[in-house]
Formats: sequence, structure tokens, C-alpha cells
Amino acid sequence: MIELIDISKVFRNKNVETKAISNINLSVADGEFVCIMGPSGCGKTSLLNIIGLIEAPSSGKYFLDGALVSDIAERDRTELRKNNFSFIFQSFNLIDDLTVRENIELPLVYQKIPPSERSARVDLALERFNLKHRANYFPSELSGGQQQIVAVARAVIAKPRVILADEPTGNLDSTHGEDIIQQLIKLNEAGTTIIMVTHSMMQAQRSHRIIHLFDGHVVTESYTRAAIKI
Amino acid sequence: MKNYLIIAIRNLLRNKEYFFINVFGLAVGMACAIMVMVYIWEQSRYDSFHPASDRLYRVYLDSKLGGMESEVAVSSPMFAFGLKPHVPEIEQACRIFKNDRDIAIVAPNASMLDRRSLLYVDSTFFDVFGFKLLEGDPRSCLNKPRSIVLSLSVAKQLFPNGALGKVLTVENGKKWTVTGIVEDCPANSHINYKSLVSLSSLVLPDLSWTSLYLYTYFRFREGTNMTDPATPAYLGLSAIESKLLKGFLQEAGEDLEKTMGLSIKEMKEKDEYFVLRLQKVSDIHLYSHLKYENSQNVNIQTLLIIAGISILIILIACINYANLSTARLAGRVREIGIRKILGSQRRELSRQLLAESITISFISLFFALVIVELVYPNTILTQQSPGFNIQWLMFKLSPVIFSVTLLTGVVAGIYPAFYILRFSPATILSQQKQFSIGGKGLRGLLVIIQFVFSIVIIYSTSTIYRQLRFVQQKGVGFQKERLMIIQNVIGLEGDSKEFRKALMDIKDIEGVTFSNAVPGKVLGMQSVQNGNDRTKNLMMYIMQTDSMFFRTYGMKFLPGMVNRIQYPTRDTVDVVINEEAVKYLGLKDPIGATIYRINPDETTNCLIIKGVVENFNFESLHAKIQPLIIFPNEPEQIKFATIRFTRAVRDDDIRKVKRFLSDVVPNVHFSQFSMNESLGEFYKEEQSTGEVAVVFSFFAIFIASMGLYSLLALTTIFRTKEIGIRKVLGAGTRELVLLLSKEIFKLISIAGIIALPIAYLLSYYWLDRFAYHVALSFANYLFVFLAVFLVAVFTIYRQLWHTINSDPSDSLRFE
Repeated sequence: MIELIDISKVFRNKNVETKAISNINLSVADGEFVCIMGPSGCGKTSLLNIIGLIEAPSSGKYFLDGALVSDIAERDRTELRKNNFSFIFQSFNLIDDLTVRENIELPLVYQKIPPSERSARVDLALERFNLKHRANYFPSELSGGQQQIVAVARAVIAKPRVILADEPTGNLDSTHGEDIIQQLIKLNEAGTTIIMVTHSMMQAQRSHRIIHLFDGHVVTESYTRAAIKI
Repeated sequence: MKNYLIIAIRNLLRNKEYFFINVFGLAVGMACAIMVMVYIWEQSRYDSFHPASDRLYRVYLDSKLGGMESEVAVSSPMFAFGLKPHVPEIEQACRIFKNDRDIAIVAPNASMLDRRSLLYVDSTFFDVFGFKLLEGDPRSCLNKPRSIVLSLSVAKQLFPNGALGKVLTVENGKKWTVTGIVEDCPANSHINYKSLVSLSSLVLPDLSWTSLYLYTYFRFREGTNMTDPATPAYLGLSAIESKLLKGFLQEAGEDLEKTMGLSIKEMKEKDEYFVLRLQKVSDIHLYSHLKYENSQNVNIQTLLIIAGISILIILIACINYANLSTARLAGRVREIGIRKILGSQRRELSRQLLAESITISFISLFFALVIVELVYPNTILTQQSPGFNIQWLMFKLSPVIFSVTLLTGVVAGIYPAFYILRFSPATILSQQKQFSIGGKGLRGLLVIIQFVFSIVIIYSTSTIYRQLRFVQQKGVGFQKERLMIIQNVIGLEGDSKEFRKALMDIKDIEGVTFSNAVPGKVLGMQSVQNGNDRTKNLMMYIMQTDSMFFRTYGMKFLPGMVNRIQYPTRDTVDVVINEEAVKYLGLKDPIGATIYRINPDETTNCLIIKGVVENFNFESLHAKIQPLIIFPNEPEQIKFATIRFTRAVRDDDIRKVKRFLSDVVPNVHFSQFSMNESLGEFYKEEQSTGEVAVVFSFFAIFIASMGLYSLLALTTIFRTKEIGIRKVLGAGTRELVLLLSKEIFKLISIAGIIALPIAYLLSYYWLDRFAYHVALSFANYLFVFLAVFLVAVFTIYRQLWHTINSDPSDSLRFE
């Protein structure tokens, strides 16, 4: 499904050139749960952004379902992004001025789903994530854990093929963190591909495959027991 | 201090776009304020340089006669010295007479003394006024007939080797001796001279107490009580004015009664009056708007409005600066939070921020002065008073300009400085949203105010220009194009036929007519009585023409009447009246009706109405058309010759006509003008208001765009993260443009709705000064609104484009 060949990303400032990731080759199959690990600044988030078509690579080739997508225009990237990927961030990234219901609904607005269907799907999501009583709250009125649940609900509602999670439990206590991991495992079991960046080896062990990055390179790639179970 | 400045400049240069916009926005506001400051300063100091200017007054006449009210700046030649015995408070008097024709100089070189700056004055001129006599004796230089005092520039031009004592030969071989050299007339005086001739050189046309044609000035004794409360008030006259009136009635009561055909008592009973009033010479320029003023004055209300607008402009510029700075600060929140965590004192940080805004303010001042230097000399403001030196005035006003700049810097910088410093470092680092002036509501309100202001001023400007175009294009009841008027043809008398014949031989000339007045040039008034009701005296405008007048001017008679009137010589006089006169006289069947002219010697002439000409505007379009009687010419009264061409008048036509005239009457000095030009002079004030309004429109829309830009800057900064999230979730360019611009366009639309009644009301009041004016146009309003809307789109487009096209990861990293 996802195939990266010799992907690099370079950030250029006035005088400084920083290589965030360098010649990465990686394949992710449909329905996989992959974790990316590594120290701060090793290029995890950049890799996730490239996979999620948030930013374009500086060089290399990226094939999505066999089609080359590394060089396509911003407009096409947006189209592909909204039809294939959803995102969960460490800092939740909810819109402060929108209620829980409106935040969850947003991806459907951009997919031009008719209002009646939108409403039905949001109701289902609120029920599924136990957020119905908080539907009209604003993000600032929720705890961090609750905000991240809303972010997961928002990620799921568009029925993406791939969820990209960037340290989704980084700002949460262990109980809330576990809730999120459970939700992601459930989604993966239902067929959604998940690629997650994490610092927690415990969480990583629950995925199928762990990729270790260091200084922008893939240093090791290992399958977990969870993968063997499959 | 030096450290603050270096850091301030480094900070400012780091973001060049903000720096440029901040500086330019403030500079435009300041330029506007400086120009208005200089202009108002100039205007308010007119005629304050005369000695004892607080005791120096001009007499003017306020009357209601025959139902017509009138206030005229001119008075009778008898007032100045005839009233002195009756009013002992008068210390000195002086009269100024302006001839209505240029005087040709024959020697030392052929040139001309322009009628507008050639004054005939009493010998007391230099005693009463503060103009400096550079050479000659101020007490005696204007004592004798045929004495002339030249201004320095005219003297240098005529007699480069010294003018005093030299002789000037003028037309008809008259010789005037130069008895003094006076400084060039200061621009800030309502009296405008280039040369002064002793009044005794002239045989005054009429020495009656009721003939009004020259200006009279009085200087009163020190300690004179101008408003004695013990004096019984009659028509609001002051004590001195009452004394003047009393003296006038003693001297001229009979004259007045004869002219009016009414006794003073009867006048009072009929609520009619004829009183003398005084106005301070130093107030004339700003407050006097009488008929026959000797210079174009300024309206104090216009001045106050201009001052108000400029204060508003600089205030809005300050607010925009504060908003934009706050936007910039929001981008530096982390830096300020860290500085505070590292132990920077509140005072140091606020000093740093204030230093930045004051630096910007002074850099802006530099650009403001450049703008002033470029714009001010090209505005009509300076054309009205060409003698003013803007650099000198700015230098003189420099303490004020310096203080205003400092104040601007403080006002613009104080809010962002103190607002952001109030928060604890933790708040700063966590809640960027709060860094805006007064929140979303107030910012929105400011944008609305700025756009209301812009729309109102642009709409008003467009109304002024529509009206000016209207007055140029409106039919005035005659064909005003292709008319050449020759003035001062006095002396043509019997030779007019010969002159006409010579002209009519030219194939491009289709008509020639002679008259004592032409539309646009002052007409006299006459007291008349209706033949059917001789109890009432009525005042009507009069002019004298020949029978070709109507055809030459393309005037039409009412249906069924001939277009050519013969004036037979009989005991009675045949006349033509206009439609308005028919109404005024209350005539049902005007043709053949009789009216009576009342002469000063109490005799009357019987006038038979032979025709009614359709109304035509013989005054400006400010005034409604007045009743008019047209008499046949008395040859010695001919002053104007009007020539109609079949095509536009060319320079060689002027030369040809000049040659013909000098062939027929060698002594007449040739001076011509076009009818269009002459009528255009009526709208000079409106023309200048229009030009000032254009400058203000430019400033207003520029500053409003700045406001919009800063609002959008704030909006996008606060919403950068949101934009990123939305993009990640699949929002396209169209959705984001709509999202960001929706609010702004909502504000502009609200401004459009609020501005409509204000713009209409303002334009309505301005147009009200015209008896004939354009209607208020909604289509024009829509056009102005659309134009402003497009400027807004243009302003936000680039910024929106930049934000929307940035990588969403940048937006998310913004946090």
C-alpha cells in the first residue's frame, strides 16, 4: 500500500541545511500496525508528515497504492490526504472555537458529505467514544485525555484507510494513554492501517512492527510478538 | 538608551514587511496631520499683522429691500469721512477701490497693471494697515493725485535701477509718479495688491450715500467699547454700529428714502432695513462670506471639518499601528515569555517596546515630511496662497511636530507594551489568543469605523465632482460655448456699429453684441413698481443690451414671441424681462404690460414689456435665478462686447479681434475672456474643496486598508494553527479563503450599510448650497462601495495567499 524508496527531507534556512530524514526505504501493507521509534530530532514526525502527504519529500519516490505521489501538486495531495489518511497529534490539535460535535464533524464537511448523513455519523461516533454528554463542550472545557478521545473520534469518522498518530499519548497520564492505545488496537483489528510514533516500548510492543530511526536513517526494523500472533 | 535603540532597530528590521507597513501607515497619518496643521495655521493668521488689528474693522451693508435680503462687502465713498463726525470713536479711516479694468502701461515698457491687484487707496492706507513701506514717506506718499506706490517686485520689473521718483506713463497719456515702494503683499491678507494709486487720482463714479462700490475700513480709538450693553439693540447692532447707523441716517436718510420710495419709518413697519455693520479685519478671511468680497475667503466650518478629519486619521493610524504591533508581538510571545522567565523586569521590557514604537514614529516623521514636501505644493491649498513657504512654516511649527510625533509613538506603543507585560510568563506561553486590543469585537468595530469613514469621504468626493461636472455641463439657459467676451470696451460708443461690421465680415463669427453686463459679471439693481400696483417698490436686477444680445447668446423667448426685439426711441422704454420677473411682478399677461422705473431724483420712467426671455443663469448655480429687466443699451454704458464663433475660439482669433478693435478705437485696452472660464470662477471654492477631498480620500482608503491588513495579520496569526488543522483535515484553498475573508467582508458590508445615511446626509448638506444640483445617486454609492470592497480584496489577497499556501506542517509547528 505505502512504499517509500530513498526518501529524504532537507530543511533549508538562510545559511543552514538540516537533513531531517535520509534515504529511507519503507513499505507498509494494508491493515498493518507500525510503530516508529527513536530519540528526539531523529526525523520521526517528518517521516509521518511525508507518509500523510502533509509535506513533500525533498528527494526519493513515494508510491501510494502503486501510484507515484511524491511530486504531485498541493491540490492533489489534499484530495488524496482527505480520502486516505487521518491524523492524531500529541497536542490534540482541536479547534478551540468549535464544539466537540463540530470538531468531529469537520473532516466530513471537507469531504462534502450531506448534512443529514454527517449528523448521523457524528452521533454514532459520539456514542462509540462515549462523548455524547460532552457534545456541546468546547475543547478548553475538557481534560487532556478527553480531548485526545475527541481527536481519535475525529480521525475515525472519515473512515480513513490509514491513521497516522504522532505520540498520541505523549501528553496523557497512563490511564488515559491506555484508553487511546486500546482504541487504536480496536481500529486496527477492524482493518485500519495504523502508523504511530511513540517513545514507549510498551506501547510499541503492541504493534506489529517497530522501526527504529536514528539521525534520519532507519537503523533497525523488527516484528513484534503481536505480529507473530497474526 | 543606546542599547534600547539598537535592539529596537534590529527588531524592526527583522521583519521588513511589518516595518514598512508600520512606518508607511504612520507616515501617511502624520503627513496628513502636518499638512492640515500648516494649512490651519496659515489660514487662522490672516491680517493679524496690522498694528492695532484688534481695533481694525471693515464696514459692510446688511439690507432687506423690496423683500430681497442682501449683505454686501462694499460701501459708499461717503462713509469713511462723512461718518467720522458722528462717531468720535473712529480714530482713522481708509477706503479701497478696485477698478474693474486693467490699466495699460505705455512707458517705461509696455505692460499692464492687472485690475485684481491695482488698488486705489486713501492716503491713510499706511497708517491703518501694517504693510511695510520700504521707500517713501508713509504719511504723504499717497496724498497727491497721480501718485503710485509700487510693490517691490513690480518696481524691480519696471525700474531696475530704482523706482522712487520715476514717472509711469499709462493709457491716455496719464503720468503717475512713483512715490513709494512697498513690500510685496503678504499672502496672509485679504487685501491683495501689486500697486497702490492715490484715490484722489480718480474721479469717483458716484458720490451718493447709497452707491456702494468701495471698501471702507475704520480703526477705532483704544478703549472703545464696541458692545455697550446700555445701547438698545436694534437688529442685533452693537453700540458702535448703532452710532454709525444713526450718523448714516442723519446724513443720508433723504437719499435712502428717495431711492427706496419709502420713509425709514415705513421701512421699519414693513420689516425692511438698511443697516451698517462692522467686521474685524482679522476675521474676514475665515468668517466673511458677503457679496462682492475682494478675495476668496475660507469657510471656518470647512476648516474645522478638515481638522477633525485629520485628527481622526492620525488616531486611526495610531490604532492600526498598535494592532499591527500587537500582531507582531504575538509572533514574539515566546521571546518575551523567555525574557521574563530569565528575570527581565517589566519596566525594561516596556521601555524596549516603547523605544521601538517611538523609533518607528520618528522614522515615520521623516517619511511624512517627504510626503508633505511632495504633496502639499501640488494641492490647491498652496495655490490659494502662493507666498507661503512650507519649509519655513514646518520649521516654525517644529516643536509642535516633534511633540506630536513623540506622542504618536507613545500612544501607539503604550498599549501593546503594557498589555503584553501584564501577563505572567506562563500565560504568555500558553494563551496567545489574548494578545489583541480589546478582543475581536473592538477590532471589528475599528475596521467598521475606518471603512465607514473611507466610504463616506469617497462618496462625498464623488458627489463634489459630479456636481462640478454638472455645473460645467448644465444648460444655463444660453449657449455658453464658443463665446469670446471683450471687456472694458468703454469708449466704443458710436463706433460699435463699425466694430461689429468689421467682425461680422470674418466668416467664423456668427454674432456680435454689446452690453453693460454679461452673465457671470456683476449686474446692477433697480427699484421698480408694477403698473397695476404702484404702492410697492420692488428690487430687480437690470442689464442693458442691444437687440442682437439674445440671438448671440442663443437665448429663447417664450413661445409665440419673436427672437429679435426692436427698441424704438420714445418717451417710454421698451424692455424684455425674464420668466422669473413675470412671477415676481405677478403678471398674468406680461406682453405690453407697464412697469415703472424709479430714478434717484424721484422721477419715474414708464417701461413697456416687449418680450419675455426664458430664464437663464446670470449668476452662479448657487443662487436661484432672480427677476431681471433687460433695457436697451445707452451707448456710454457699453462695457462688454460678446462675439460668438462658429467653432472653438483660437489664439489667432484673439489676435485678429484685438487688431480690429485697435483699428476702430486706438485707445481702448484689449482684454478678453471666455464665457466658460468666467462662469468657472464661481466654483473655485468647490473646486478646492474637491481637491482637498481627493487627498483625504486617498489617505482614508490607505489607512483603512492598513487597518484591514493589521486585522488580517492578527487573525491569521491567531488562526495559523487552526488553518493547519483544517488543511490536514482536507480543507481546500477555496474553503480557507472563505473562512478567513468571511468575517472581514461581513465587517465591510456592515460599514457599507452604516456609511450610506451618513454619506447621503453629508452630501445633501453640501449640495444644499447650490440652487441647482445633482440628485444623490444610489448607483454611485454602490460603485464607491464596490471600489472600496475591491481595495479590501486586494489588501488581504496576498496575505491570505501566503498563509493558505504555506505547508500545514509549518502552521502546526507555529505552536
